[in-house]
Amino acid sequence: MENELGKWMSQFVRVRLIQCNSIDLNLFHFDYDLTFAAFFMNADKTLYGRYGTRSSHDEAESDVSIEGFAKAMQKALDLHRDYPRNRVSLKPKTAPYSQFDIPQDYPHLEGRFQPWLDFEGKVAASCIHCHMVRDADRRYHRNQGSALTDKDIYPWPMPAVLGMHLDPKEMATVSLIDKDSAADQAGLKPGDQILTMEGQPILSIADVQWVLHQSPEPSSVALSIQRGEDQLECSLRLRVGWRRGSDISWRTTSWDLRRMATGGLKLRHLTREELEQQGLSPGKMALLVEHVGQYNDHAVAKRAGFLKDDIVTAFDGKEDLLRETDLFAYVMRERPKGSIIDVSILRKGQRQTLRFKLQ
Amino acid sequence: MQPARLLILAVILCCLGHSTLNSLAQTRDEKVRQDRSTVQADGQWIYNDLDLALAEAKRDNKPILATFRCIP
Repeated sequence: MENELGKWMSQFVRVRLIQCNSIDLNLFHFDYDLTFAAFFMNADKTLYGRYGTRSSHDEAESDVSIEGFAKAMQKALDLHRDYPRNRVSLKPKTAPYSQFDIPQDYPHLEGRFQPWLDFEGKVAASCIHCHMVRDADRRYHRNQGSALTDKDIYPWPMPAVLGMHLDPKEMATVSLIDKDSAADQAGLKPGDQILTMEGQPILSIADVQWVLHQSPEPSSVALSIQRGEDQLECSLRLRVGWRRGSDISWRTTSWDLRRMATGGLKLRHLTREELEQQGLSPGKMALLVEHVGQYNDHAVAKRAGFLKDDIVTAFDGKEDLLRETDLFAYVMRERPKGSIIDVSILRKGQRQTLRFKLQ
Repeated sequence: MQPARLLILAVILCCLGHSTLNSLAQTRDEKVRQDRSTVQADGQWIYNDLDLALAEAKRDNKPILATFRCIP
C-alpha cells in the first residue's frame, strides 16, 4: 500500500507548508485544530479537495488511513485530468474564512509575527500555528462584543453528528447509519458512496465536513450517491441547532475557550458511578475540575478560589450544561466579556458559590 | 501496524524526511532546522514555498499536493 501511495503521490508537485504566517486564509481554509491537513489543487489555486480529519484527542489516527488518502489522491488526479471542464463544480470548494486575508491581520496576531519563520533565531516561537488562526478569530469576535454562531463554536462538524458514520479507508462511504437520525431520514444506507454534495465532488471525509461546515441552518444538502450499480439523489435536512451534538472539548482551540468561559478550568463530566457516589442526578450538571490554570489569563478561576476536584453543579444559574462543550457554547453565545458569573460547586460534600468575571 | 498508523508514518516520513526519528535529544528549534535541512536535501518535497510549487505545477501541468504539518 505504501508503494501505491508513493505512485500516486509522485504525480503531484508536492509542497510541505509548515507555518500559517501569511497564508491566504481564503484559499487554505481548513480545520485549524488538525495536526496534518492536505490540499489537492490546480496551479491556478482551484481546489480539487482536502484530506485530514480528526474527531478526538486520544484517537487522532482513527479518522484517517493510507487507503483513504490514496483514493483521495486518485480522485484528485481524475479531477485534474478533467479540468477545466469541471471548474464550476469545484468553485464552491473555497470560500472566505473571515474579513481578514492573512492571519497577521487579526488584531491579536498583528505586529507579533513576521511573514516568514526566523530560522536564525527562535524559529518555533516565530511560527503562527494552525490553531492560532481559530483562536484569533474567536478572540476578535468576542472582543467586538459579538456572540459566536454555532458555526464558529462547532467548526468542521463530523458527519456522525447527523447519524452518518463514514469509513476512513474509503473516500466517503457510509459504514453505519444511526436509527432515526437525519441521515436515516434522508434514506442513506451503509455501503452508500457519497459522490457529490451540493454538486461538489467528494474526495474525503474532510470534503464532507467542508460542505457541512459551510451549510446554513436550517437548510438541506443535496447528495448524489452510488449504491451498488445505481446512482441516486437524496437530501440531508439540517435543522436549527444540528451542530450542537458535536464535542469540541478535544480541540486545541478549546484551551483558549477555557480562558474565556471558565477562567482557566478544565472540566469533564462525572461518570455514572461518580454521580452515584456524590448523590447527584444524571440529568443535571456535574462537571469535575480536572485542572485549574495557574498563570496569567488562565488563572482567573484560581484567583476566584476554584480547586482541583471541585464539582461544578450550576453555572450562571444554569444546571443543564452537561458537558464542558455545552458550557463553552453557552458563554460564547449568550454571555459577553466582562459578565460576572456565579458558579455553584460541591467541595468535599459541601456546597459553595464562587464568582468570577468572564474574559 | 494499523493502517492509520501507516498513513501517518508514510506521510510524515515523506514530509519530514525521517528527521524526527533521530532528533529526540534536540531542542524544538534544532529539530525545525534539521527538518528543513533534511527535507531540502532529500528533494522529494518543496519545503515551505507555495509560489515555487505553483510555478512548477503550471510548468509541468501537474496538480499540487500541499500539506500542512506542524513544525517538529
